[in-house]
Amino acid sequence: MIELKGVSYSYPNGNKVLDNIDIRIEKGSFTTILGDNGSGKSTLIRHMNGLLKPSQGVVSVCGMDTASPADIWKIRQTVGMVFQDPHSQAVGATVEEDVAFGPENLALESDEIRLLVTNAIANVGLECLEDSLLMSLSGGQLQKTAIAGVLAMVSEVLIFDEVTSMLDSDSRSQIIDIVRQLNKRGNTVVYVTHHMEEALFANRVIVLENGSIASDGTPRDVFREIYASGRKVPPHLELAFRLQDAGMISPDVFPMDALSLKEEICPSR
Amino acid sequence: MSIEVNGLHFSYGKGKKRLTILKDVTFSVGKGEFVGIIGNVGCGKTTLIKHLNGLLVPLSGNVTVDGLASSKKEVCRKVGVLFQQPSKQLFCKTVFEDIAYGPSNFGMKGDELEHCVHDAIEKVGLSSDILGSSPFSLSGGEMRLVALAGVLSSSPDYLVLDEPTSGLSTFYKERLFRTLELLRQNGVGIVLVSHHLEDVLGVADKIVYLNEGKMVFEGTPEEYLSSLSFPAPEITVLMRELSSSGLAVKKTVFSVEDAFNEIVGALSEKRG
Repeated sequence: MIELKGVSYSYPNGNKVLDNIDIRIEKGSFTTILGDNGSGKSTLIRHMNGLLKPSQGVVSVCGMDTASPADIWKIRQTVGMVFQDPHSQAVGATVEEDVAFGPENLALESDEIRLLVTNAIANVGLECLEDSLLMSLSGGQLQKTAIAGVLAMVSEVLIFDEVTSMLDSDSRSQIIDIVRQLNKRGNTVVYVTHHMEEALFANRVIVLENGSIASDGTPRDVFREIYASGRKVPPHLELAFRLQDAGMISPDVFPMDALSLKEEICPSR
Repeated sequence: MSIEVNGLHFSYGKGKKRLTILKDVTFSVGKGEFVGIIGNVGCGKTTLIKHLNGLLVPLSGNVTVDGLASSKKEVCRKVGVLFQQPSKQLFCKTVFEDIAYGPSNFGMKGDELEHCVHDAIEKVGLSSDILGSSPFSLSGGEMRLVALAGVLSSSPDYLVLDEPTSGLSTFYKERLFRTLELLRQNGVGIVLVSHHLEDVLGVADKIVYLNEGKMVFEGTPEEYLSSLSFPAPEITVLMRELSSSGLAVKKTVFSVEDAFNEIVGALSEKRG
């Protein structure tokens, strides 16, 4: 689906941000990318739809080279992206206009646009704000609008760049549920986040450090590795690993949340 | 000496389009006190903190800072605000100019200004090597700390931070909280707005919980966690569930360390 081969990238000031990255994103997969600020996460995903071109190496999307100007339009249609700062991608005056911007540019029939927009807005729970001005929305509501804007496109691959960083826990759960549903329906998902617990839902976790891949594997393997190196993992997992190390619960369990851990510690009758 | 918020009401718009954001909010922030303001997106947190340094004026009620009405010019210097998006707060060509912007506008110059900028960058734990760089060449975490250094360079008596940990990795988050703790020890009153409960509960002396513009709770973190009416961190939820299932653990725990000790103690006793 998306393949990066030997990708390195340096900014014009010579600052090297990515160093010889090899990644293959399979069709229908859910990949989470974790890493500290400055580790190269945002730079990496900007290569996946041709927003950035590698200084070295090759990036291809469905066999199309992102360095090829002839393919770039098709690549951007295939790979939709939601950015960290929703203000940077707001284009309409109202929620409805903003969400409709993408499909309108795909030259679709108006009935089809209407349906895509209505569904996308409903998927992020903003039905009651459809006619609201973007300037009147809170940061979290604006973020949901930006996500709806990408949902309204018919992109096969969806890339989310720290889209929950401005949301409260309820809104975050809603967004994660939406992303999981989209993946279940067949969308390939690449999800960049600082919230480690959000990586639990992926089938693959990649950890970037200083522009290189530090870990790559299932959430279970990667989180054990992170914990073993003395770094932070989600609180319920840290507690689970400590209880496992102390022989208090089975070493085989990998609880997805605090309530699953509760069942391991004190099973319901 | 404190920030006093009394019966604060605020709405946007007029007539039928009036949207009430804050309803009768009352609390205070003392020197050296750490107040955490929590609540869901859209509950009025950001609107509230814009009142603390006079960016917004209450429709009714009042806000005073060390006895001065918040609309007074002097209040801007007393209350520093770090907004949610640091990129909106950075605008100079270099990190040095950005951090120097506030104090130079207050008349500082020469060696004193140089010293002030170095002191501010040191306080936030960043290297002075980046002073010549463009703030926009930095990572998100570094930008936020530079924006904080820009606020601290004016030596505010109170510091207000709006969702400062959004988008921050664990490394920069820990660095930020170390800085805040040092400021608190030096007598700076801190108001931290966040929807990350664990961030606030571990450091605040006092919690203010807003729901749809109303202040529905004011008290200590322990009192907040004792109430079942408000959102709780996942570790606290786990401890409540374990307690309900008959395991003898404390229900107000929210840190992994305390939870581990509680659970190991209770399980060891239960299993004999």
